[in-house]
Amino acid sequence: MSFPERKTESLHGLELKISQFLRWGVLTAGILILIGWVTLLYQGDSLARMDVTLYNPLTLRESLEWAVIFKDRGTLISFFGLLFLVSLPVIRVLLTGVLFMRQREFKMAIMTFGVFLVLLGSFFLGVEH
Amino acid sequence: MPAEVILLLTALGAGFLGAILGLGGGIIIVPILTLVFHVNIRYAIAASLIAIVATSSGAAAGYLRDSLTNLRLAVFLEMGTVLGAITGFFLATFIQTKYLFTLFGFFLLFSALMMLRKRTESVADVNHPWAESLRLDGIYPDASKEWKYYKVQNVPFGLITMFGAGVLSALLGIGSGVFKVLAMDGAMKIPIKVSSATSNFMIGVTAAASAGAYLLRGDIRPEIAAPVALGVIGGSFLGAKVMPKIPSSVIRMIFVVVLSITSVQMIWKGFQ
Repeated sequence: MSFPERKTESLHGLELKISQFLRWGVLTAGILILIGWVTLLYQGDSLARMDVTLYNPLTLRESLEWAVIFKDRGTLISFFGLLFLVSLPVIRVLLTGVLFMRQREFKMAIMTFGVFLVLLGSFFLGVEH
Repeated sequence: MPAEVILLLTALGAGFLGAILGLGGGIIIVPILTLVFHVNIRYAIAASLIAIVATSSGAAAGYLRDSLTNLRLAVFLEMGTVLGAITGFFLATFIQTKYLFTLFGFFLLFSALMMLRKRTESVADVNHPWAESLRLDGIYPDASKEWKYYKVQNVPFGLITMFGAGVLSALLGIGSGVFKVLAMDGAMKIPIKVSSATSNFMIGVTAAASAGAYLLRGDIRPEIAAPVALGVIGGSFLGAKVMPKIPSSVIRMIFVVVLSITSVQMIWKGFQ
């Protein structure tokens, strides 16, 4: 199926690159989360042992520090996988911006980088609160 | 059966149902975690945001390859969704969970009513000046693999709606796909296939804006989020494979029933 004039080959090429990045990203994150979760279960950290009804304010940094102290590999790998998964859309936005720049689509590139900066800022809101 | 296996299977089902209706799955994950597993709503919202990111990134890969996603439009509208998501994150700190339940219940009821609405495809004759300037119009392949051209209207209204959808996403742990599709399909006159694919592409970014913040704050617990994410990834993959074989009217009716029952339960819990 050839592309009509309105849809350039370069735009479709850009879509394919982002598509491939997302496919491999989800797969990698999924494998990391699976390994981390299985390790957690093997360590005996089941849902039954955790009171999920109560909210326990413990930041990611504190959780990771405890995990390092207690050599809790399951928690470390799980968080790494989850962090990678959440980063995928952010990296995707950055990648889109770079690809728009290479195509000299400066208006689109500026918008994309704006979204990227706000996304980056949103991550750090969690540190402040 | 251990709670983890039940949670994994539930997430598999939620991912499956979410995929066949074009939603992120958060609309199903949050009620199930809170009402069935009695998980604190803050953990449930955070886990469902993770699930939305997974579903969106996985499904978007296929939609982009098939040229159904309008990449330029998605980038433009994402400006509204990420700003809305940050606003919602601040609001969530001040809102009590019982109000979140009530709000989420009414949102589900609204979604159910919207799904009952009969979809009619109305095509735009002219582009909005912003759409012309940014070349937001596009083409997509229809069922017979023929390229179809479409124009885009009401761009500023669409951007404002995306801001509202971003606020809801952070408050309720949903991708707000229903609002996004409604705005693109109804107001901006974009074909439903393109609206759904572009919405699916965007919900990942909307959810990531607040999921990242929730993750760093410590609201995402791997014991809950890991099985949910894995189940939803598997379920959405299966759903995308099976969806073409199921009549859409059957899918729509099942969801209206499921959403109506769940919304009443959530509103009831919010008022208790």
